[in-house]
Amino acid sequence: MADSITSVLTGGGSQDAAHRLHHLVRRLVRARHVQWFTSWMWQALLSILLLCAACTLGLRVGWLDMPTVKGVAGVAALLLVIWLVAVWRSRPRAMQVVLQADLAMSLRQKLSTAWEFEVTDRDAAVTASLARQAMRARLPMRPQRVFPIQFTTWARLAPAGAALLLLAAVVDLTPIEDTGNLVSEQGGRVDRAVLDEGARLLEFARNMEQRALTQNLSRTLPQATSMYRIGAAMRHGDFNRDDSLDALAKYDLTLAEETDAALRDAISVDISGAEAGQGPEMAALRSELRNLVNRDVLRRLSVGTLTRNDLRRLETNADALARAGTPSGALHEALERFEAGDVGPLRGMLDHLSRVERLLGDIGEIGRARVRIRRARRSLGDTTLAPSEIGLAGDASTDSEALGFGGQEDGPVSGEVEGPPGELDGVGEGGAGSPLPGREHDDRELKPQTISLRPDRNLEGVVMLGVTTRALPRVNEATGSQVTIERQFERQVEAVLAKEDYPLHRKELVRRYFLGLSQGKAVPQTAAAGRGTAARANDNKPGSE
Amino acid sequence: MIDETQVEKVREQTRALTAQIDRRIVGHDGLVRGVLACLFAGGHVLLEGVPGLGKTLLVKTLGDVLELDFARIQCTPDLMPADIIGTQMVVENENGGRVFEFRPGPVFTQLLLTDEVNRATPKTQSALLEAMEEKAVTVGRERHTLASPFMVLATQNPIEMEGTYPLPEAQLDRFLLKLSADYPSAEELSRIVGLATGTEPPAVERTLSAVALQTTRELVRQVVLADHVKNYAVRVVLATHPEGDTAPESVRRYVRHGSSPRGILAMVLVAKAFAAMDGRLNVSFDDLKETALPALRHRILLNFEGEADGVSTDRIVEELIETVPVDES
Repeated sequence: MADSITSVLTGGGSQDAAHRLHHLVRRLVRARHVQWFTSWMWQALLSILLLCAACTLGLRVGWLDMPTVKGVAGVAALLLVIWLVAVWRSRPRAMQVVLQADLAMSLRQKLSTAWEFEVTDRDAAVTASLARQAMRARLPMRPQRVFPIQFTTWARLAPAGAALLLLAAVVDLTPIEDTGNLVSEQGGRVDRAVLDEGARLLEFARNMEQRALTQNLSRTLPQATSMYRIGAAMRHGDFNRDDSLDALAKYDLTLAEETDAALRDAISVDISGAEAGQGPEMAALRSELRNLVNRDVLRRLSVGTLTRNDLRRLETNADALARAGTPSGALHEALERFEAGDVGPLRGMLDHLSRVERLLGDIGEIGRARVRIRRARRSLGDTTLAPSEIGLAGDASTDSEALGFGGQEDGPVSGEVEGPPGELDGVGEGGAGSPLPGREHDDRELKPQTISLRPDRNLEGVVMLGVTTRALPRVNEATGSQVTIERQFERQVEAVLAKEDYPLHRKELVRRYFLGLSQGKAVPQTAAAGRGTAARANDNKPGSE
Repeated sequence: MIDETQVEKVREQTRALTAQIDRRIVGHDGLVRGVLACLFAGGHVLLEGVPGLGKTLLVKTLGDVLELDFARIQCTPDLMPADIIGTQMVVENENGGRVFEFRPGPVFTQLLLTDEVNRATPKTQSALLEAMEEKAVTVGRERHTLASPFMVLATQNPIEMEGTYPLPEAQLDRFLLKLSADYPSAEELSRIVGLATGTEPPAVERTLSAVALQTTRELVRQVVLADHVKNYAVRVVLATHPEGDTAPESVRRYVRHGSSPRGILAMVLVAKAFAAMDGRLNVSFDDLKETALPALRHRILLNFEGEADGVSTDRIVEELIETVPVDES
């Protein structure tokens, strides 16, 4: 074995013991240095992996931008070079290596003594004798066996560091990944509030779209798409705060107009004649309609397999159908015609009911969207919105998939309460509460035969819809166009207030003044405005009413 | 310069001596090895152990296997210096006149067993001191050189304090090693019974002459000691000094005086003897570790706190062996 230590020590030929000793020590030193650097490299490797993982995560989450990471990488590279130099300078010397080899091979200092005598040129004969004595010991075949690569604790932790880096690199952090990319590409600071609100809008829009698709809500679907675009633009940094506020305000107006249109449809399908009550009843009505006029019923009607049970359910729920604009007389007539073989009236009635159900769903979804939009505006510092207009006294940052009016059946907490979407779509169903501050509920405007979208005391968005429902035609009462004028006036007031420059502490007073004019109320005094401000501050506190 | 053949010869001598001693001495391998190392290193040894462990038998056996003059002194409180070193006596010369003539004492031998040395008075112990250190005695105005080789093997009982005179530190320092005899194991006890209750003790052969011993002593001193090995011994001895920078906490707390330079000389000399006895040309760290305890235990002086806490010098030295690194880097 040409490489064995024994052969080096005992090799014949012209090589003398000193030469062979030098050769052996060189190889031992090389093996030891490899071991030395490897053991330190594990530490460096783990440090680099952890640093890379931290930087990757920082980039993806958005804590770091690319210039910062580049700086960190530069510093790390510099430290690595310094570290390498330090490790090189502190490497074991030949004497130390030989001594360690002596201890590792239990040579009882034969080798180290021989080496010391050799380098100090003391006694060649003793050196040769010691080398021969060392040879007689059981030496490993290769120096690498004396100084094997060591898997230190750092080495054992290196896979964990690699796994961490892998996780940081591939784990699904899509929303924050977009942020990281945005930040890195633009290299500038990003408004965190805009990004966060964008993320919430995206989430809300996704859920809204899902509900629209599953419930066939034709008006809701395009609104969900619009909200998604705005949210994406905010989330991706395309919008700054001003752009976002502008886009949200415009979208808010669009939603209001869409609500108007939905209500006009409601007028056209004549649900105003239905027997209806408060918001929860409206939600209950929609729920009943969904049970009665679902896809299966319509499919069975179209294929002529409508069962007795279906017809019995229609008869027993005549009251709900009446509230949805289908008088019981018309129902009985349609059923009789159906029994006689004429499917047309019943089909027309069921189509009507299905449309009413979808219409109510659209109104509910759009109402939730408005609350979400106003909450986003408020979160971004839209001072033109009073707290009462936000429609929320709770935590505005906890939007969930089930966000919306649907959860309000369970209590006065508005908007944020989770509940099965689609079943509680009544607009302003939290009607058990009292009217919002500054927007008193006027029972004189509620007529017994209208669908009363009574506002939750916490939901200004609901208030808006509630006002709209008052536009349902009644004898000698306000019409839809008047309400629209009121709302347009209110929007104009808000827009003007947003543009005008005057002391903030007067802003609320001015706003109340003009809103009071629209509602025919007395102009509030300064002190009252002060109290209103305090009340608004309280409204902003989570859980406050 | 020493070579492999010579150390191999020393190893053979050691084997032969050990084999002869093992005929009478059961167990005590470390003790025998220490005594032989001391013999080869040219020092004196103090054997300590409770009565009946075979200390005296060991020394007597050693006297039997070596072709050396052997003498024994049983120390008692009434033992006088003249009883050891000899005395001037008035004798008639050829002309009928009376002259003083020196009658040498038992110290004039090559192998001297001083049994229960701590029973002798300090005065007698001091008389032995010059013989051990100077290898000569002075009687009157005459100085008498002792035989060569000369080795004192003293024994003492550590537990019996009444009527004894503990050896002073200066005299303890003269002993190259202080070896402790331990109780034998069950198997050794069984063998001891078989050996000691027979009709007559096993016979041993003389295997090493005085000349051969002298040669071996010279060879031992030629055993190679590398600097990095020597430095380890230096670090160990320095660590026994409570005022030193390298002293561990136990030394700082319990030791009043550390080892004298004789300590490191003893360590290195006996380590060389160990190396030669093992047939090696060089001293190893293990040799020094093996030597440290018998060479340093009687050269470290505990302070009051150490005595009060019952700390032994053996514990101190063992801690030093464990804590002092062999690699100074």
